[in-house]
Amino acid sequence: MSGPEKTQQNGATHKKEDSAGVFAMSLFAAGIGLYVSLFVGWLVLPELLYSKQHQPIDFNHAIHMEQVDGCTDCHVFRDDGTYAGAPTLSQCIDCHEDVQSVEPDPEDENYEDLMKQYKAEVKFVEEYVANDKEVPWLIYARQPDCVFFSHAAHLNSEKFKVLEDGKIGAPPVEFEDDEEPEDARCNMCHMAFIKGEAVPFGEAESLPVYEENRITTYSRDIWGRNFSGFNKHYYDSAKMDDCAQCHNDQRNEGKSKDACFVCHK
Amino acid sequence: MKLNRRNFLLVSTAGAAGGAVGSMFSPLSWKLMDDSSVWSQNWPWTPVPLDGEVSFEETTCALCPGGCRVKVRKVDSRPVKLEGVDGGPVNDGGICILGLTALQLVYGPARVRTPLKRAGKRGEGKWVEITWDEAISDVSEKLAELKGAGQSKAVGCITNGAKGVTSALFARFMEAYGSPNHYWQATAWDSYEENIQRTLGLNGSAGFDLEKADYILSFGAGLLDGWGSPVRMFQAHSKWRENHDAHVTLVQIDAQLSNTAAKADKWLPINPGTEGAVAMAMAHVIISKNLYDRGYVNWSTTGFRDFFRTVQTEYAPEKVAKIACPVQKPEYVKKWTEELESRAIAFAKAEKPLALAGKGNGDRPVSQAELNAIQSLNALVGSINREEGGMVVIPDADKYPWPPVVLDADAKGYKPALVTTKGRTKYGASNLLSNLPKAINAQHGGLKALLVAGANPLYTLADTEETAAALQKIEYIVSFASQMDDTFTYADIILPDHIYLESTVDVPTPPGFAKPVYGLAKPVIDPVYKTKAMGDSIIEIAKAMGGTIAESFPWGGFGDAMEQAMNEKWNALDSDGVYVNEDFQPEKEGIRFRFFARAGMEDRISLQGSVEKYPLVITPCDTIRLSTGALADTPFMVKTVSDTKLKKRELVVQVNTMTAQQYGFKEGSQAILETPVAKATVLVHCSEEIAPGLVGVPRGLGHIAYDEFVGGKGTNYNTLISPVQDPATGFDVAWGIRAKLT
Repeated sequence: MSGPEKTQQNGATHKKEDSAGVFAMSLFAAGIGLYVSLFVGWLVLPELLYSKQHQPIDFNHAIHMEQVDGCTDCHVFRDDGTYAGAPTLSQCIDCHEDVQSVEPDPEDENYEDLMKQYKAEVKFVEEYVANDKEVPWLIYARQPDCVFFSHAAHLNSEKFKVLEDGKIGAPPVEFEDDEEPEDARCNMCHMAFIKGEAVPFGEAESLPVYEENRITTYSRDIWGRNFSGFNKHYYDSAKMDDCAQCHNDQRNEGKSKDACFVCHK
Repeated sequence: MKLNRRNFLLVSTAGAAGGAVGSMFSPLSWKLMDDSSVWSQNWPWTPVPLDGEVSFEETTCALCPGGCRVKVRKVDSRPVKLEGVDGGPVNDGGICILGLTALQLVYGPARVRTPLKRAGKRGEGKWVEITWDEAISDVSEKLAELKGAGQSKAVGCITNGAKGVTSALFARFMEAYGSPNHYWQATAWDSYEENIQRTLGLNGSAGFDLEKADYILSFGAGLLDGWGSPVRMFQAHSKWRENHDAHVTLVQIDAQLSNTAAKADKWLPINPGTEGAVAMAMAHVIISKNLYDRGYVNWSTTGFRDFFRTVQTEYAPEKVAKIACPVQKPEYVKKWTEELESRAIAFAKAEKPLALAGKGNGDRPVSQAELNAIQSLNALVGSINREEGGMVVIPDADKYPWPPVVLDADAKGYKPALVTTKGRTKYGASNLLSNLPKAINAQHGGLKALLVAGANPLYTLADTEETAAALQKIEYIVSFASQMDDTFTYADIILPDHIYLESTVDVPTPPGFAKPVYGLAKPVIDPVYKTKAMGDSIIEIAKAMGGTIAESFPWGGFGDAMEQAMNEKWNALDSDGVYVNEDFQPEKEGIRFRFFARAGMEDRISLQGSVEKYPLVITPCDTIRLSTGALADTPFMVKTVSDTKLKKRELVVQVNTMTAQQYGFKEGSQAILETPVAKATVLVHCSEEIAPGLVGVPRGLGHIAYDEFVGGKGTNYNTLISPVQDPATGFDVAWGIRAKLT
């Protein structure tokens, strides 16, 4: 075998090796690209997209529910039937003109929890009641202005109930005996997501961290905790599709688009 | 593997492809796409109405004398909308464009938000914010200083009319202070009051039962252009048109095809200023055809014989047509005369005819000669004090039952007012504000201080240059304006008034309403800025001055003075916001109408300027969309003005197509409109809706102050004209001025 032939063979071998190397490198690069993309998409973006904010007062729903006669005692419906949303200072002052609770005893076994509640009430009275200033609550369920939502219609509708298969809709199912139907309906949608657990708001002992979408300025609760948008429960999110799913089924057996105008007046 | 360019690109592409595939399996792109769409549907800079409890509160609109009951829709404490109250005695659910958009006066950029003191030169627009205490002491100290120096008569005061508790408090202040110089600007309704005194010997204002009249002769009254109580007029017009069986005829006798003329059954075009002569010609026809109400004329009038003779000899329609018919072609004149005759006959034959005066929106006085003639028509057909569909006299309200004014020696002494009156007027010189600038300019030091309360004389008085010169001569001007109006620019100190929604304001019987009605505006929102009701400000100034002036104001505040003034009406006003005297019966016993033989043509007002130099005549155009009084349009109203009146920032004048051709103008041509007192650049709108030789100029534009939405748009009609005094009263009755277009 002459020298040049050898060189040719060697050249072909090198070429093959080089192609394999390039392929392997490309595959690796593709893998890195895929990994980075997935990492950013699934783990980095959610952290970047949502700002975490704490409520001005760590309100304890559970303790208040023991004092009042259901959710609508504080989250009132006005005389004209419209829903008032978060209670105003004038409502809170009915009970909290002064600090109601007493400073807990350090010996108490629930000292930490009691102290937390006590501090929250002191803060509320000193910062807001004393200065006649409304509490700037961050609203988890705030919808855009283009959405009309009637709480009264949902609270009173026989159709708005949880079915045995976990979905919302007719036919109605019975509520548990010890549960007020209205409260049960409130808790159907308004769930507090605390440390990965979904707790009905009426039973929550503290308020969840409010995560605000930096682009839309709406709460993460609207899109849902699952970043993929695939939710398991009806209470996981409150996007248009969630409303449409039921409204389109209820009206004209899903054959009509007039469900749009139920919310977009 | 060699890291050459090719391999680098290959590997990078693979990495990018991997990233792209990965992005398909991560929510990144989908989520960002969704968020972007939500963001773009809710632009953060788009205002979103606040959510809150909706409530309605009723009050009475006090922006004009119309007396409409309105309700304000509030979300929590913020007012968001105004609408008419169903069953309101004047407006029954209706509201005008000014009333509807009044919230722009509350929140608009032209609102004066705190007391201010001038920092720079006049007109420079430099102000410093001061406290209310500083403002009250500044004014009271200055006024005390002038009084101490024996200069009490050198303090003047301008209010928006005579009626109402606020004006009465300012009048009381001037009396206690010792100055005779309290003025307001007369309107057509002041002319009517004068005429009622002259022809019927009564003290009262004119009311018209328009809803029940069946034949209406309107001598230039812009019934649908802001005349009387505008909402009531729109509703009356609707009622006339609703009933097809008993059709009400409206004849508009007017120099131009105004909105009212366009909606009338018949428009009889005339030369402006000949309304009185035309009325006399109609009287001629009625008398000649023996169609007048003999019962009324024989038993309830005086002076008919002389009137009869004058009318028959001097006011034959053919003779009047020579001055009044806008086109002097024999064929046209013949038709015009026939039309005049047939309308006069129909008027006299109607069951409930009514003749109306008051040019345009009625805020300009009418000469007594013209009113005498028009009222004579009402007398000839027995429309004065007729049971239904006639004219009634609403007697002046009793004086407020306040304790007497306490006067010191200075205030007791007689001092003549700065304005002298040749004619006799019911209110002395007080409603001759139009003559004040000339008086100030003629007498150096005539006024050293001026209180401007609810008026805007720099805008509303004819001949702006003369008014501005007069204001410059006054050392100390106090403005109580709620908006940065034109006069505000000359003020030295501002004590800003509330808007009526924040305040208690009484609204006396609206002009032209046929029953005594009293409205009360009550605060339906908390004051948005650091403003104060004018009534409270003047009471505080009086108290700060001490002595007899303070003693004359014994009330704790404006509310107390109001309650005492309203007397027996207070309970009804406090609970219902309105008081209607349903049992009202006009005084008829022994009341006789006096015919004036010299009516119509002899005292016809002649305009300034020579025909040779100024061959055209300016005539004003009024529309409900343009506010011509002390209060300017709201920004929204300006947006509704058509481009045949205002094009961008230029005034558009209306000229007959023939006249435009004669002077070489086309539609949209730019021209210089010149009068003996001023000139302005205008755009020409060619139209058949105005007689040849006339230039229709919209009123209500050309404010020099306010904000970018209202100010600097067009030219103020009043800058172009100069006042012409009515020999009988001294009122400014100029209905135009001679002009040329070049």
